[in-house]
Amino acid sequence: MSLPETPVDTLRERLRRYGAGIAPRGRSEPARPPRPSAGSGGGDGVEIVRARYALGHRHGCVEIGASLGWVAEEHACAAAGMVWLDTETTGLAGGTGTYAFLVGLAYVDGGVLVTEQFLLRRLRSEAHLLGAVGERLASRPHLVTFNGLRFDWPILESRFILARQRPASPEVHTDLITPARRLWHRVFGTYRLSMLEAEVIGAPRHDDVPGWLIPGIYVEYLRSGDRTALEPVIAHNRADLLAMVALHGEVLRTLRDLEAARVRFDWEGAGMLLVRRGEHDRAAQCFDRAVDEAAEPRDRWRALRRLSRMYRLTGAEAARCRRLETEVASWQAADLYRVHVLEEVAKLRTRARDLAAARGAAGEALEIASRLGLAGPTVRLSKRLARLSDQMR
Amino acid sequence: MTLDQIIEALRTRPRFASHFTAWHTIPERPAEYTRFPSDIDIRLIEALARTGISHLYSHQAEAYRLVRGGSDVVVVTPTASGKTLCYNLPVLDTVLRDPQARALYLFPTKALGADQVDELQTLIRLLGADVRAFTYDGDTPADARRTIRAAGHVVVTNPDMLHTAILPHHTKWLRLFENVRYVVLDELHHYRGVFGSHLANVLRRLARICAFYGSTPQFICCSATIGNPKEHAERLTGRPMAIIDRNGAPSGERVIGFYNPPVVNEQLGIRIDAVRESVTLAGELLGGRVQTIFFARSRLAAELLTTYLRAAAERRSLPAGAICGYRAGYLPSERRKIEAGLRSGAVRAVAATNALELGIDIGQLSAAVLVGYPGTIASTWQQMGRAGRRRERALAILVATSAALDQFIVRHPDYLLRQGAEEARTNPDNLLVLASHLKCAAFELPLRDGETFGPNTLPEILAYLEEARVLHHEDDAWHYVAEAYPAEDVSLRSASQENVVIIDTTDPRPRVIGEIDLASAPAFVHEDAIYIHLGQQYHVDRLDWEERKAYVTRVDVDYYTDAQIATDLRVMAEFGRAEDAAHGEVTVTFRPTIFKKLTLSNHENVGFGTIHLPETTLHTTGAWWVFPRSRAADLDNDALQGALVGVANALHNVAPLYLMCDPRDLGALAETRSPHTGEPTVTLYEQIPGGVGQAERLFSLRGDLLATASSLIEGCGCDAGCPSCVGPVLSLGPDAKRRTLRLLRDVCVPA
Repeated sequence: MSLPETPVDTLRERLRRYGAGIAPRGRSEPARPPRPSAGSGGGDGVEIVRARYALGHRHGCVEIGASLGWVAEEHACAAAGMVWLDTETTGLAGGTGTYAFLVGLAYVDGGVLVTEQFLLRRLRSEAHLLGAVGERLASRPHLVTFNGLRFDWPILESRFILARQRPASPEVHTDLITPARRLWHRVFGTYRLSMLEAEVIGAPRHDDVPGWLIPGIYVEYLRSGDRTALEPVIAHNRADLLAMVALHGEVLRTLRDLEAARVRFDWEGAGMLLVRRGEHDRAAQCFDRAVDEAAEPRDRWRALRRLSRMYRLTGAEAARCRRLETEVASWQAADLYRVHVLEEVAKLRTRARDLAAARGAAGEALEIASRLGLAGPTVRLSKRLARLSDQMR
Repeated sequence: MTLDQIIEALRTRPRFASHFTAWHTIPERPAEYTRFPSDIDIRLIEALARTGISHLYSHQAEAYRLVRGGSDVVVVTPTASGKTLCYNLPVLDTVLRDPQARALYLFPTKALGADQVDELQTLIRLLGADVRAFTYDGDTPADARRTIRAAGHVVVTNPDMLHTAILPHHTKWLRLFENVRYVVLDELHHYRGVFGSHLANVLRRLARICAFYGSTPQFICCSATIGNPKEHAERLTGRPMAIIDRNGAPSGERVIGFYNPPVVNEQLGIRIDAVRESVTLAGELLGGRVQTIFFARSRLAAELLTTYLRAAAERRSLPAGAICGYRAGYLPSERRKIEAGLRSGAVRAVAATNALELGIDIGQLSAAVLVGYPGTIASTWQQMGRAGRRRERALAILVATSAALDQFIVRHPDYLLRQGAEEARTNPDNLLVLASHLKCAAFELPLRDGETFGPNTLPEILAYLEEARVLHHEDDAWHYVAEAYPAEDVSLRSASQENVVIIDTTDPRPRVIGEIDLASAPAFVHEDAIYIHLGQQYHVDRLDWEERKAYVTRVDVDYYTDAQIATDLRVMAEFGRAEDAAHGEVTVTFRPTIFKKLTLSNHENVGFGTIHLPETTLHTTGAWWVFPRSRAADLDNDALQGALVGVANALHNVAPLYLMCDPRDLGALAETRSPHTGEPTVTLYEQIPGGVGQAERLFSLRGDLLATASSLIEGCGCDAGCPSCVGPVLSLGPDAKRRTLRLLRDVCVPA
């Protein structure tokens, strides 16, 4: 199948024009849409908008080449087998009546990042569009999306079935929403792609069309046939693709070198991601930091419990005891957190047969618990104290 | 006392005997057995043998034979006749032969679906084969859904889930739709009126989706006795049906008593309240440890019954849990508990609405007391069928209220015993219903030009939907382009899509105790209304109409409330006309005015208040009769008004005898000068937006209805009119009965 090629300014010219190579840190350059020549594409109902980004292209304060470098380091296949995907749809609820009218793909080709956006100019041409997208995906089995596990991919899967096409499912599907949420939700209070793009990538969008307006714009286009109305949507989709690539790199970079991270992130969340990658020692370091940084007793206790579990998992029993004892010494507030820590410490001291010290910890914990009116801990600690007294007799 | 002794006591004891207008005995019926068809998988025969089934009833074998032969079938059998085997047998047999085969079961409620899966799974366990049956409903956990979609041989669900969750996501159900061989529709009689009209459209959508995946499932339908099971099933499914209506199951002897409570006011024709009188009758049954079900006609009556029965049970020192209420609007957990109590025997008596008419498995009870004529002959048999174990004697008593229909039935029991059940009506082409399902259909698959989906007015509706920016026409197809997920906005159960939530604020923590549909809300939860739920009275402190919330507190008062609604009617279009009668599209406006407070003990008026609520408007269909002013020239306007209201009441009273509907599904209005006809006019209109086909039926029965209304009034024992015929004499005037009859006689409807 041959698809009409949309000529695009050479990337070099564009980079020069926008001064991308010399953009100062922290300042962003909006991704300008390549200008497809009028009427090109769309003759058979599908238009493809292509753009190429050299490795030196900066998105916000991130160099695309650097992002791709982090990705390549993580996944050996990055250059050949990976494709970033983002769709624009006629509805946000999903279901068979939701069309993916714009499918944006980004992948590495010939040493540059290529974006290809497949725009459905006529609904009847959907099978054609899907065929072309399916062909691209077939040779790139590692799919990367932002919320694609729940949204983009199920919709595309539905579209393929409706068009009686059954492409193979991606071999690997990395949904960036999970690491993004773990790393930055608690820090920035959001994990929407455009917000993270501003906070993490340093590329706030100007004149971006809000996502909820997009379905309406497309329906209006179907009625009027006015292609220009779609420009902002195409730009939005391409910005999402670039943001995704950049964010992907930032996620990997952050996890690779935690201390060198450019923006704040959630240590506890990072720890959880590292646990999933099997990096238990580094996860423990993250949780250790999370304990220190937690201001609320509840958060602190949750982080401490995760840390404690990591120590146990890695057999670092001595380190676990040390950490808990340090905690008892340093956290003096007579609150629920201290009750929990003392209770743990009492258990450890009991195991170490230091019964008097164990009784001291349990006794203090019981005193705080009963003062705070905590029913569960009070009962538990009373029993523990009774047992300790028995053992000491 | 045994049931036999109780029946004897009721027939002879003076307090009751003379008020029974008739006793009727339906003799015991032996079983008609057939041997298992020779081509059934032997594993199935062996599994059934282990449950004690060594033969089939004749209707079960016939169903198997017809389904195997490729027919779509409808099986019509009474309660407890083993109808589930009529579909489980061919379905399991097919799955055993072809593990790829799938079946979709639809039940009108989640509770019924859950019951069926339990039964099916018991049988499957005995089979020892890898056959998987699952319920798929709102309670199904998200992680189980994927398995069910891929691996469920039998998926048990309800029309609502099919409509909102399965069809709009049909690509996820690929495996099911590619291989679906059977669609089972149980409790078919339940799908009438609005629900039936919606279901017919859901099935039209289902057919499109199956066609897309290349499957053409057979339908196996089961229905309680109705007048037109074949036609009804064909209308719902759009397919020709083979009917199986020879029941081979046995039944014990059933004794039926017709009871007319004693008259307290001869002149006004007022009788002792049927609810009260039923509780008196119940005393014997409760004392005799006979498990009894009481069917009330309304939620209100069911609640009153529960209250009174509890008091009666307390006097007999029965445990507090022995009496239960049961109706729609109870939370599922409450209902499950009651059902279990009935099965275990801890619950002695249940006061139910027709929610228990459906085949929920609570075992068979020994006696059924119908407090008031249920409104249809079909329901009457269904409710009476709740009493009666296979080989034991059972008792059913119909206690008449002073309502006209009840008085007619209790005086002419033969009508009930001889006349067949009514016809179920649906109107799949109701414009509102059709249009909403067209949206859903287009969402599921673009509609092609020339594609059939019901009536031939489709292009106009589609064009309208395009103007409304829901669809987009391109080449030869209509694509769905709106953002909203269309199924969510369409409720299959009611024409109105909204409910008012009732919140109890008595305790510091407010609690939702129930819901009421928007149309009924002005009458039941207006401010200062007494709302009764689970036998508890609640005072409505505030009705937040915008937010659809009613805030109530628990009270204990000796009165209830009755709301008055003023009605105004306009004819929008005439669909058909005969001499002095017509039918067509009407717009009815309701304006709540006042409510009365009536004592619980003798319905005495002890006060009233104003209802401050907005008008509501109903677009529907109606049939009307014209009574030319010239033929009643001697009557002044007041007298004429009285006579017209008499006609309206009498017609409204008798119409349900012919239609399979609740009297509340119809409204009646008398006008001394209708803006449309310019003459005195009586209109019966459907309470359901757009109508479900009843108005047209009323029009075609117009002569019969007038004749039956006349005979109802003539046969009534009252002097000058009573609520059982033309309406209460106090509000119509002393001569209303005579004048109503005259008016009816003077209107000559050509035979």
